[in-house]
Amino acid sequence: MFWFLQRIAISLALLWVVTSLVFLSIYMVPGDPAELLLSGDGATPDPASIAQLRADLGLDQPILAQYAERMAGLARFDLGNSMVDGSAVSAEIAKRLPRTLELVAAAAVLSLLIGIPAGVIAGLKQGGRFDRMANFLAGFAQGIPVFVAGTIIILLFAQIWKLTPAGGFVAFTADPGKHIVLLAMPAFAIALGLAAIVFRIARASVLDVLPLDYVRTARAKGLPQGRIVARHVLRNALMPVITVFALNLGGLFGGTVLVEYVFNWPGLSGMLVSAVNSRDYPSVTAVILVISALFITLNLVVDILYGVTDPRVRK
Amino acid sequence: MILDRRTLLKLTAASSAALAFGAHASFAQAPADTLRIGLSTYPAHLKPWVNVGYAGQLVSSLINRYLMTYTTEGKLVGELAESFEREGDKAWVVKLKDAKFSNGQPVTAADVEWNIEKIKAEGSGAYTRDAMLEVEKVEIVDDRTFKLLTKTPNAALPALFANPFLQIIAKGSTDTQDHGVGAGPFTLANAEKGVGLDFEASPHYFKTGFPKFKKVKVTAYADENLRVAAITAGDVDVIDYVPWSAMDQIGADANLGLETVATGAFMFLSFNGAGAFKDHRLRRAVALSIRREEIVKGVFFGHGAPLEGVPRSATTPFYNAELAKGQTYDPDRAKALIKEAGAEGVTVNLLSTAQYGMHRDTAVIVQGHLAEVGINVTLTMPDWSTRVTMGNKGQGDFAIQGLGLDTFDPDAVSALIDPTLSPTFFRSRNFEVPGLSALLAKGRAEFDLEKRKAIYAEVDKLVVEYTPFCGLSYRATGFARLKRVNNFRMLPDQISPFSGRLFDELSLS
Repeated sequence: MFWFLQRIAISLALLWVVTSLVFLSIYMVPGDPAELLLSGDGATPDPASIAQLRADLGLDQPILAQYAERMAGLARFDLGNSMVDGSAVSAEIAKRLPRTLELVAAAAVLSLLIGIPAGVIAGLKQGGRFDRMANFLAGFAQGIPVFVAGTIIILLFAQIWKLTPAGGFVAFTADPGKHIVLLAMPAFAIALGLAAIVFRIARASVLDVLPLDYVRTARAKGLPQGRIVARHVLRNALMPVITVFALNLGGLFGGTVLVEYVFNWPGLSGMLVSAVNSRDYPSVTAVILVISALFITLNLVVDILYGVTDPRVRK
Repeated sequence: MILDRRTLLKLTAASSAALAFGAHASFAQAPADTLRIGLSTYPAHLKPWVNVGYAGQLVSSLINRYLMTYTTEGKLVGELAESFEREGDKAWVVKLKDAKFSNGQPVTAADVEWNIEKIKAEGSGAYTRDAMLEVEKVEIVDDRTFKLLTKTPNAALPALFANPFLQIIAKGSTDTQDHGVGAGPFTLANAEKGVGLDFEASPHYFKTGFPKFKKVKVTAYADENLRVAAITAGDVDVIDYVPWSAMDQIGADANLGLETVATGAFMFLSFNGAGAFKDHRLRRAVALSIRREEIVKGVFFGHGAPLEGVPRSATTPFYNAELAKGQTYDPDRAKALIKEAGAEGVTVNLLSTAQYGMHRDTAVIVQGHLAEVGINVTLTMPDWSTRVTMGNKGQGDFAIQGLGLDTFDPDAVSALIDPTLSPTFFRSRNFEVPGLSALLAKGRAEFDLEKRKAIYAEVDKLVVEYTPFCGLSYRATGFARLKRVNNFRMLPDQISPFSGRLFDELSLS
């Protein structure tokens, strides 16, 4: 029990450290939200207006007082209000987080749907035409930056073939078909890189498994090829694929930053970029806190599962 | 029927084609009663009177109107004001049109008075507050007539009320919603922060028969390439801020119309007199060392024009063709001035930003040109927010700036050329230009057109000689539209980025 509590305490401490670091670092970066808000395209805000706005935003307080207030707020699960328009940051995150998670989930599923079958076929037909072609494409997919992939997708599907809108977001409830089309493009752009990794690992695993005794035995028993692949090769080859996939899942969040921008997908990453540009301190700290909390929670769950499945870890 | 492999392949191909065609037909349909705008930036807010940039102003002009406005020929005319006439030296009499706010209430003198008082209030953050403080009192004559009493004679007052950030909204309406209730052609129906805004036509708009469509849907596309892709794909009807790199492509597209004004907003240099640029000869040498055509070609893909003096519209009587060329490239004269100033081999720091390509690339070109005449330039290019803060703190010897004008009154450039005004990131500072502030004050107080012209010619001469402002280039203002959008017109020259004010008269076919 003590081990479990220890893991939870470490996770909470990590959250506090991340929040404090983000809070302090953004305050150290030059740039004044009040000045920016009143400057527009080159306005001269009068000093009284800036002072008034700074006071309204609480920026005239000493940094430690602001820090204490922010931490007290977070302890009450109050993420604060945006300095730009005064709206509640938590409401904005609640609206945008599911969109980012949806994008990441769709990209993850796509990468598995593309990578595993392609890897298995390439492994089974090593050196064949499909294997060579898939290897070439995987190298291309791994090398192409996510924003280039996104731009090519928009160019082909929206501008040349005019099959889809160029980007944007429509709620699923408003138009399910359009929602799926708009989701598929950025998800595919993010999925490409991970699909290539999954493909390579799946192919290598299949090649490792194929010469093993139990596969040879299955063949000797006269089992059909499909059954050998499904029951004996795939099952055993999938373990390393799942491990690598899980390790790379976090990287998909990074991919969303550029992809949300390129496809105008209004998720959490777009909110973060815009908040950093306008020095909207509460929004920046809250978004990073939420993303960190997701990562830390995932790690905590994995830690606990390890602890449950393998008691040696707890020692 | 037996489903063999070939049949299955044929069926798959046929259904894919049908799906693709269906998708195309469904996504490409443009609603007949809705104008769809692809906007470069989602506005930070819609509070009246605060400068929210060009994109924010476009949105604001959908819901608001102004006392005065400009025609496409650059003529100042009444919008909500039927007349704006001078009474003596320190009073203006304004008569309002029979206009209504979008809630159906009439626009009255009391509403205008309330707007002026809110703008003048300390800490209001209003963009025109300094200028508005000149208005000492508003005297209401009747519901639709009032007098503006000024502290000093002020010839620039009518133009001030055409400022794109001086909306007239219903008295007290900001108490219930941040953006108040305007007298514009539309009302805000829905907004999702960072994504888009929906508007509905106001049934009370004062221009009979307008707007010609029921709804406006604004979608923010921060990525300029996606904005271009959106109009090319037919997702939107109009986009603002067409990137210069895409103007030729859009111009050549038979489905699109490209609307541009070459002499829109402009790039210039401001100087910090705390260092080497205290000497006006060195500032003038910088102005004479730059081949502006290269900036127009290199940064704006040829879509712009050189700016070689004070930015004044050729549509106004204050434009002087000779003085407009006062900073033309002359490297020999520049070298002589540098020698005279004893500044050969001097090293100066140029403040710009890497966040916006036009600022970054202009800085690099300026650096190269100044190296040719013996001025070494180091570049400081942080992100925009940091650059604003550094500029406000007076860091850097000189800085790349990009701005437009709000109005065509000759006094509108004062904020850019007078280094004695309050220090800010976009203006020269820490030196004086002999006689400039006095001339500008005289120009504001002069009502006689010919005398005013003479005063501002003197102003422009001083700017050329003492270089508190070094023009670099105009950048073309560009809007792109689908061919179904009709009656698209633009404001001229430096106020062209505010052409969204004319969207009330657009129509869709």
